[in-house]
Amino acid sequence: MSFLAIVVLGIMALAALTLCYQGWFVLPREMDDTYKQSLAAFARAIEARSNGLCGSTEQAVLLSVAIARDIGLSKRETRRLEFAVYLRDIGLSAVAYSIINNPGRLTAAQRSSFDRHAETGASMLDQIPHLRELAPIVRFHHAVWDGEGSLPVAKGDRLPIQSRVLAVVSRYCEQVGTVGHNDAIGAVRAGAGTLYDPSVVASFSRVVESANEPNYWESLRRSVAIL
Amino acid sequence: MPPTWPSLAWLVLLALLAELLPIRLSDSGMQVTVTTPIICATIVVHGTLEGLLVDGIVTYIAGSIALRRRVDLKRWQWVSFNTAQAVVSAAGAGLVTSLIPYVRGGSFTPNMLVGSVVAVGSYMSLNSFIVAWCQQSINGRSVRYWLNSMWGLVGPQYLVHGLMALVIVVPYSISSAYSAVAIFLPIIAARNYFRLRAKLVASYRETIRALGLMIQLAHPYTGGHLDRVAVWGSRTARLLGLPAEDADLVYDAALLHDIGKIAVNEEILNKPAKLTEVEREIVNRHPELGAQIIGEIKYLEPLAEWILYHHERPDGRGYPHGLRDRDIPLQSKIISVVDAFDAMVGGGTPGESRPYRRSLSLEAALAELQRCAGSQFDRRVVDAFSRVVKETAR
Repeated sequence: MSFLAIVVLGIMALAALTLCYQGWFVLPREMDDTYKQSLAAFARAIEARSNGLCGSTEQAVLLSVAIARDIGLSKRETRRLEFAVYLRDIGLSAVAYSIINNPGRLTAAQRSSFDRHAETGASMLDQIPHLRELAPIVRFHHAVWDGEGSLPVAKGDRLPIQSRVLAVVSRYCEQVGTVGHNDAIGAVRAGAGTLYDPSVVASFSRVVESANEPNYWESLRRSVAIL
Repeated sequence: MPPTWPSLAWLVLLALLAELLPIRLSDSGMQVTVTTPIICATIVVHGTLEGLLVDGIVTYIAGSIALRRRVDLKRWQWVSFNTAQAVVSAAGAGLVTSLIPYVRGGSFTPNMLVGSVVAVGSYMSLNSFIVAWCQQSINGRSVRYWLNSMWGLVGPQYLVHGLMALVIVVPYSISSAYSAVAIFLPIIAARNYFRLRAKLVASYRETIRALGLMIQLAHPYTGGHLDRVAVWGSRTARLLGLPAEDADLVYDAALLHDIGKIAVNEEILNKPAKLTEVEREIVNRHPELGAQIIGEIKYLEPLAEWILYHHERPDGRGYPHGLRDRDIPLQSKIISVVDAFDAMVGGGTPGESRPYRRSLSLEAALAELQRCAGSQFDRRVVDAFSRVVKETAR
């Protein structure tokens, strides 16, 4: 075989290998990173608007994933939950700043304006093809388990499991900053069966059992390989 | 190596597969197939007649399959035309290649490498010429025009096809026809690569759009304003000599430049009166907030800096850092000028004008930009932007 032929074949083999490597290893990674970075940016924007009143996104992610593990959600479903945590309050961008940051009690009108953020967030996600699959989770992330007093769109088992987890985690993260760990857990437990899916609350209880220990979040971060 | 029927059938199968596995280069639907290198390899290894036969059969079958799949092409003339065009291209390529001396169907010689390159070159030239000629008779314009319009795609394709033909010819003539199947590794890899690439680009765009949507929901008046700043800004960038990709980034940056306002109370932003000291400080935080929000997204990193400095002034009296002229990125200066201009003219519709300012006419706004050129705005950017406005208004 002539030298030239070997050179040509070598170049082509290299090019093909590069394409394979890029396509099967580098690009999927890059895609994943991009995805995560944009999700985190959405979360940062909302955190800035709500001045952290909805709790820390990182805490919410850690708890959600830990609960999902406890329930035994598939890897794929857990991932969707993880992504939805970042985007759950994206609809707050359409809620007036003064309502989000209201230190006192909201009037009924303000309350309903605030409650619309789940629906708004979902319809925003509906417009974004690569995030569309997360829309239902966000739509129902404040839905009430027994359907009492909320719009009769869905309740109980009909709610996406991720929404049910998010409802619990959101409540805990909102409360823990103001009333402390024990009362926040108490608030969640009091809602089991009415506001929240009892089996999710049971999982939640198991996960936060040791949350008062000094390095709880550290160890949770280690056991839950997040984003 | 005699042109046995099994090996010809094998080539038809390979070429057909290649024809049915197009590589989508971009999201806009531009796609290529690597059938041509297989045809050219047939011409080089076996001879003109064989290449012509394989090409004709493959184009006919692939065309018929496409007819079944696509309702918009219900015309058998289209298949016949394509087949005829393929056969003519193959015949032409064979004719040109026959000038190179070596034994067809014989074992490998370096002349076969020359043959592959010549075959691909003449095949693709003839093919583009026929297409251009048909375009001319159907749609008007000159053959040269259509050839020029195709060159951007055909040029790089020629390179890839040439290399691929070599890859088929060499192992084929050394060992057997069946080694040509190796060509499918690069095909599949390329398909996967470009598919992911397109997806990645799409997700970039969607993220930018979604972030833009967020700020528009929080501050509804910004919607039309952001779009206009983006369009004017990218035009100005191009006029200032930035390459097209950078101008596109200016477009994105302009869409996102006020994202930091998501954390500013609308009541302050929409306040009809002058702002208090405290309120001003809150508003002035928005460039930093915006940069923080998008700063961790790696592909938006350059934009974060431009957004951070879009309220800096050449005279050093801007915020947040009070940078001086040459320390401010050009992109920030562009956004600053266009942003101010659009705010001054109030966007054309009364509902969109900012509450604390009266709208100015285009001329008055341009005059105001000129007046502040050198102090608040960069002179070069103001000049370029004025040209853009005047050209568009005309």
